[in-house]
Amino acid sequence: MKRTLSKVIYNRGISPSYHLLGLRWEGRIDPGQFFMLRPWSFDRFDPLLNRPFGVYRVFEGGIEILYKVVGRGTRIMTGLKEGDEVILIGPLGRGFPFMEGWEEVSIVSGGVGIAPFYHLIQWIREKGSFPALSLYHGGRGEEDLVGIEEFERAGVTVNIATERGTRGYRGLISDLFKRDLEKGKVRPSAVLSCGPKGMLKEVALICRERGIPCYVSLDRMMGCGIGTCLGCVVRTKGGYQRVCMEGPVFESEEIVWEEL
Amino acid sequence: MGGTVDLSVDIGGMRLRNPVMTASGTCGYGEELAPYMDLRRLGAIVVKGLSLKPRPGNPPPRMTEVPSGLINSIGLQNIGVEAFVRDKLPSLMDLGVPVIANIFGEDVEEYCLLARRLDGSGVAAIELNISCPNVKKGGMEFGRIPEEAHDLVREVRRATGLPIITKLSPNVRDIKEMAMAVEEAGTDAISLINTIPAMAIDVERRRPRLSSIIGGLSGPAIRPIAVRMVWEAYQAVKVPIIGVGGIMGASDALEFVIAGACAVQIGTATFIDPAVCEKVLKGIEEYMDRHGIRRFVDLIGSLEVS
Ligand SMILES: Cc1cc2nc3c(=O)[nH]c(=O)nc-3n(C[C@H](O)[C@H](O)[C@H](O)COP(=O)(O)OP(=O)(O)OC[C@H]3O[C@@H](n4cnc5c(N)ncnc54)[C@H](O)[C@@H]3O)c2cc1C
Ligand SMILES: Cc1cc2nc3c(=O)[nH]c(=O)nc-3n(C[C@H](O)[C@H](O)[C@H](O)COP(=O)(O)O)c2cc1C
Repeated sequence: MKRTLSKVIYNRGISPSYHLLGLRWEGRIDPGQFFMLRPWSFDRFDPLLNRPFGVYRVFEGGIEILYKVVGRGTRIMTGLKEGDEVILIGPLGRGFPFMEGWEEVSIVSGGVGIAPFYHLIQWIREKGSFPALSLYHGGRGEEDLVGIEEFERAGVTVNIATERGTRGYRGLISDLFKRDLEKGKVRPSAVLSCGPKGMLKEVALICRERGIPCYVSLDRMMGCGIGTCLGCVVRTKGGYQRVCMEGPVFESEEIVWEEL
Repeated sequence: MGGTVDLSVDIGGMRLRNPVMTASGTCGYGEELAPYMDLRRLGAIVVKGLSLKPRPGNPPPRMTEVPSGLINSIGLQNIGVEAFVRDKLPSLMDLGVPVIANIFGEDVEEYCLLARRLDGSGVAAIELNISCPNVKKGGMEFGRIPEEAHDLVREVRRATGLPIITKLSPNVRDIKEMAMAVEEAGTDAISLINTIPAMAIDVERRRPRLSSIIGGLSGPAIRPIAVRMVWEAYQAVKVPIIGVGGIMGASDALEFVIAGACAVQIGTATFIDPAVCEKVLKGIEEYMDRHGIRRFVDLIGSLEVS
């Protein structure tokens, strides 16, 4: 069954707004898939709905979620303690593709959008594949640069942009990525991206202009996460599709960006 | 436990093994829930509202959360009755659980065509969603005016031999009046309530939270209203009543039953726990054991008012 009562192994802050939550879990997870999590008890109805989260890391007997505090639900989540029980539904949706022929892959992420990619890299390495990997990660400032060292340790070329210019390129990560593409510093066979809507649109456009296949993970408010409520749809060339079932990862050319 | 109590109920000629059903629009076409619970445990499965032709539904955003509730404006997105009968119904029927088709149309004729199409298809009953604008009559909902609801049910009654459950909207002057109107027109049962018209605003952006501005409120926030309406309808009509609205657990379901419902539907709670129907059923059994009640039907309308 894909619905379990899981237990909190640990929950700790790693920066003022980013936290790591370790949960008991066993099974196979494709990179980019997600879980619906209820960080409070079933009979507390405000907030009412479960929250979707990707998987940052998979370890023996558990998963780690990297989360950012953005509202009430994630604030309540910071109060979870070792041993607490939570409803965990998943793994759900369709994750990132990875094709054997890809020699070089660029990842473009913004803020907490970095979350699904550490697991992706773990997974690629475990498969015994060694494409050249570059990460383009952006944020407002230092506070959005979590987990960067782990990517470096995993052999990923890391490029940083901050809007305030406190580290790396000053400005938007999509601009840095575009500049590097123009200079020929990276020549990705495919681009994988997750982050704020504006960034995703920009990355999709950059890839379209150059004919590079691009896959984006979309963030939508979800009612159920399992395909029943039809609340999380996005407009695609083939009509409305559910982010929770047909996504969260879509080929960027499928999305009708003007309506996102 | 379990084997000792009799949970079965009759609704308009349908015999249900137990009184717990899914609510329309919250379990897809059944298959979506299969990985999470044993669907054969359900009393009946009520599928997503069906129309004659497929409908794309409303543009996003379609859903927003409010205290103890949810406002949705899915816009009745569905695959249409033909695709349902061809692609979804056969495997649903293999489960051996009665399948109830929820239908809606834009005029009386569409409802009748749908009912006729489903007659003999294998569905056990149809549920009429009458909270839909009657396009031919200027867009006023069938569910708001007793005379319109009456005429609609009467015509559908003529079109099909299937049991008819009429699903009432809470958006009415007097629920008793509505219940009596559809009873007189020949409905076999009524279900209530559908969602309550509601609205939420993002004050920072001064924009509605939903693309359609107004949506339907569901979840625990609406339960006391739904219980009251079941109680009122129970005083007014003899046809079986199915209680819907904000049921999150067994004791919520029992409130409806004690108020007069002979079965319940569970909607929004399924989003939080896709196995909730099984939990509710188990809780009802435990309650009956604890109170020494052998037959579920003895609980219906058992409210003590002194
Ligand atoms: C498939 C999927 C995977 C996800 N994976 C992760 C993950 O790994 N880590 C993680 O931290 N989050 C992830 N999210 C986003 C996460 O679900 C939301 O941040 C969370 O539901 C917010 O709940 P809340 O109650 O704290 O905020 P709410 O009270 O629901 O929202 C509060 C405010 O924050 C805004 N908001 C909501 N979501 C975001 C967001 N993502 N970024 C910025 N502002 C937002 C809202 O517009 C609102 O104004 C994922 C979402 C999806 C769909
Ligand atoms: C997302 C969503 C979709 C729904 N779709 C339908 C529908 O297609 N037809 C219908 O008659 N009712 C529909 N409903 C109403 C429910 O069946 C139910 O009457 C209502 O949600 C109240 O019950 P609840 O509080 O348990 O959810 C829908 C409700 C929700 C939340």
